[in-house]
Amino acid sequence: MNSENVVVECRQLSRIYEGEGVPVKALDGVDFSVARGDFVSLAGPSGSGKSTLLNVIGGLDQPTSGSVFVDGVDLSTLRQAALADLRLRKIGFVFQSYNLIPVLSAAENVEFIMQLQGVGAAERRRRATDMLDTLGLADLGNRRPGELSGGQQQRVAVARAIVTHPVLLLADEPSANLDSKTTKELLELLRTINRQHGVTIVTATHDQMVMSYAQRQVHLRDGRIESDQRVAAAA
Amino acid sequence: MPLESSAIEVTPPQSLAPRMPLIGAIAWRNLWRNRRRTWLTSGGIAFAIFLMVVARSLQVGVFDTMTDNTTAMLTGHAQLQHPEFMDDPALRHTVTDASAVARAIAERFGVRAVAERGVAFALVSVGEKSFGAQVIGVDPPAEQSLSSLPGAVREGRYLESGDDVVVGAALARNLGASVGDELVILGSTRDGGIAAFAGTIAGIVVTGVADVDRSVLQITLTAFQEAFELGDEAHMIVVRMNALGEVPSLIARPAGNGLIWRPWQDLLPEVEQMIQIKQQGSFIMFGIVALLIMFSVFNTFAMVVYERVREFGMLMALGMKPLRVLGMLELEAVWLTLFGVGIGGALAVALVVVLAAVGIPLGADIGAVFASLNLPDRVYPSLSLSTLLGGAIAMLLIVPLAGLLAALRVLRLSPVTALREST
Amino acid sequence: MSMPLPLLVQLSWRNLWRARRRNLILISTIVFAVGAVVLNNALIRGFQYDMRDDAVRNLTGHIKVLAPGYRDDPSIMQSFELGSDWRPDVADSQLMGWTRRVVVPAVVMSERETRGINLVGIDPGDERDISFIGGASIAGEGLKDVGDSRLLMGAELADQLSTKLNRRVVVITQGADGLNREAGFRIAGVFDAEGTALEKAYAFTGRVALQKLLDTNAVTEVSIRLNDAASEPTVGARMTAHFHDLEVKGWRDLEPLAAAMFEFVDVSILIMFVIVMLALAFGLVNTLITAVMERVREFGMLRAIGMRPAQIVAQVLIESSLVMLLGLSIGIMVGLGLTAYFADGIDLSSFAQGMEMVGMRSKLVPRLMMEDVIVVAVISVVLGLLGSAYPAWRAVKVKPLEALRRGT
Repeated sequence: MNSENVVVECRQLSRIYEGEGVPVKALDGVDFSVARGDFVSLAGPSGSGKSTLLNVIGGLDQPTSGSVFVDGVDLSTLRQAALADLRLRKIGFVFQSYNLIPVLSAAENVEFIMQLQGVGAAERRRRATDMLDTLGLADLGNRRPGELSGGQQQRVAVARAIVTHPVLLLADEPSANLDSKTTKELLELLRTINRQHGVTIVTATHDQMVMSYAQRQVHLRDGRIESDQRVAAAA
Repeated sequence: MPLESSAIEVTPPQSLAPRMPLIGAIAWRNLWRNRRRTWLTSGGIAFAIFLMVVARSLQVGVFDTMTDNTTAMLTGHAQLQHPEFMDDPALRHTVTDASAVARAIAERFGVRAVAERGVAFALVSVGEKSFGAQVIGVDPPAEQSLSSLPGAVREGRYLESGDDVVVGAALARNLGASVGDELVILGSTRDGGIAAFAGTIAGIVVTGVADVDRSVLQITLTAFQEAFELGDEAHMIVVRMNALGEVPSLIARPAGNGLIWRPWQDLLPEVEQMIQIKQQGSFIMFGIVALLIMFSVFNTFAMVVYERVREFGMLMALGMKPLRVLGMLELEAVWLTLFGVGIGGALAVALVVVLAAVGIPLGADIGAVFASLNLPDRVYPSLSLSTLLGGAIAMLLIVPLAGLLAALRVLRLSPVTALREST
Repeated sequence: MSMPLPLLVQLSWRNLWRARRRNLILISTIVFAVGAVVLNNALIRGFQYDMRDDAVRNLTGHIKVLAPGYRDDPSIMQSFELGSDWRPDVADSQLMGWTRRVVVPAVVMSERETRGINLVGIDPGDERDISFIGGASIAGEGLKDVGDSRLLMGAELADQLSTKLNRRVVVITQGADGLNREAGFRIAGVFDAEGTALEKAYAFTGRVALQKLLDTNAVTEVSIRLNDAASEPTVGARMTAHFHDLEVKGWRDLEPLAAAMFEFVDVSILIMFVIVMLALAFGLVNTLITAVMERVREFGMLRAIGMRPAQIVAQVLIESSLVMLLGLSIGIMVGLGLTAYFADGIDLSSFAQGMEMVGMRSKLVPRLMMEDVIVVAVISVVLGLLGSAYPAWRAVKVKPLEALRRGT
């Protein structure tokens, strides 16, 4: 494996949920890797395993069998605390909703993760301000999430996710609560980040517009990869 | 895999302590997401603190007044005695060279007043009536500054000459005696001889304390020592300090001369133990209230955790460790406590300060009880800062503990399920 | 109401189980508060009644008959004679017992020491039922009969006089003619009265023996102990009619301090109870409000499908009443159980001296009073209803559409 060029490497990944009654195979022997700088969309119907795959890559969920390497690190060797650190250092997250810490302002939300990393106060402030400026949120820094629109909240979430320069950005249904105009703005933002900052992006979605921005579209069904194709990104 | 370890170990460990101000801010602001709940929970804490401080301040005020008034009557703050005198107040258990000892105490210690006294039981007769009574020989000028008894003379005057006798009002009534009547004291000297004294009732004392009014009988120490053939011996050197709080340091000094210090707690064990009983009673009360608060806080935090599961899931997904999340909740508990303690403490201090200036009038029934315990009919609380401090510390232990117990669930929370949880 | 009450109760009951953990905690809080209050009340009542009984047993009795001047001048000069039919017509069922006594001040002298005491001439048989001396543990012998001219004194007094059993002491007291009598007494027994004040204050001898010494046939008091303190006024009235020249006094007049303390305890029980209930109220209201706020959507839905505001209020009230009643009944049972567990008494001997001053025995036996339990129950239910008033009001204020929209 060439960890220089591969950010995510999954081998024979299975995740079986032992619920009541029949065990559910959310992932069934998936081999999947993501090259550095790629923009990948995971698609498929509900229960196809796309969210599970995203969670396993993010170290939020543990596979029943198989292995996951993120930026060369074997996640199966890490304990919960180390996984938390890995997420903190290397992975940025954007969720579909409940993205921000409700009691903190936009700027504080962006600072928060740097604070967890132990970045000094002045440095934090500077980077947060820069980041909000870059994303066109400069005027909204003092507002709390409740005072922001859904699109603005997602932009702040993206700002928070990339301000620490993660190698990988995971987005789970980022457009779920947005209208198409805001979705487009968000996707443009993600593309800029992907192209200009070289951040690798993996997103789970069933939104056609999101898929169209990806360079590579992976379709899952019943826990297996059904198709995997490189596409020309939308203009 | 070397890469893995290096990738992880370059990161400084997250400390559990909220080293960052933002975490403190998050905790504080989180409190105000549900104002009503925060007000109610901290209201409970405030109530407990308020109750503790006000109740203890009242108690301390009452006890201090009671102790002060009771000791001022006769016992003083401490006494120097023959070691056996307290258990066996026999005539032979004396302080020798009493006047020299008293003078030395007055010079060496910073006392408010010192007085020597002799004590003997004897038969007291006026006309044909006789009673057994405790006769006290006192040094009148010294008693004037030490005891409240000289000020309680209602008829006649206090002791002046060696013939004078002062008696309690009830004793005078029992003897059928009034001021100017001849009074005879008959007892036995140390050697078994007859001790006799004849004098005139100079004054009658009304203290309002039934026990004292029924029993007290004073003559001058000189006459006492002469009648009981005691020379320069007495039975106690009574000391009154400027404040009750100075007693421990006084009795810590060696008494010398084979004598022993008896602080007021020994001389008035009933008072001391009544104070203790009341203290125990209020501790039990505070304990019950504190436990109720604990239950209430537990419930509050159980609700908080339940409602914010998704948020915690998001924080953990971002890389915040569960222990850290727990730490944040604990911080909320600490804020909550400080807020409640602040409000309760402020209200209590304000109330106590006002009451201490104005005093609390007592009703007739309770007033009667208090009068019999040497208390005025109005009580003045005395602010107990130690209770405020102790209560604050107790709350700072109890509330975060209850919060912790309720929030332990966070440690078992997996980010995936937490994020999926719907609210 | 179009919705039948049983359905509402059923709905409330199921809702309780939906938030099982929270309601369990709330119920335990109530159980704890109620249990603690019930036990605490029983203990304080025990203390209160002990105190009164002790006061009554300390030669006071529930009612005393005295010569009018005796309380001012307690001597044999203030005495009265009793005929052979001196007992008025009072039903035996009301009486624990009664006796006549001669109580005079006296001076006791041993070879070494002199003390003033009250010398009491008693009918040993009568005292058995009504005063502490009848039940006190005695080293040596008790008095045989009214003619027994030996002396019974307290252990503390014997110590102070440096004397002991079978020794002789000299007693000086005033006779009926006003002149002093001096007589030697042999110490038959030394009694232990827990309360040291009694041990120092009294010495006992046979009534007739003492009357002989004083040259009189009179007594200074008649003391009556009742089975039930509550019958004191009626019996007192009968006594007043019978002993018309004499003073008839109840224990409250004879022991004003104990009586004042007795009243004082009534008040403090109430204060304590109110404080505990207030502390409980914070947690109660908090939990109830949350229970309502969580279900804003549900209430909106219920309104939308046609539930009336009054029914919503009823549902919330029933729910909180169920919690309160559950907590209350378990709490009362726990309190009763604890009281039964401590029925033999709690040893407080480390505080005994202070207890005695306030008239308390060193062993505290709880005394359960149903009135207290009922007060606890009633106030708790009222508190529960008051505590749920605000949440219920909140629940009604919910507008159906708003609530439904608000959920996500």
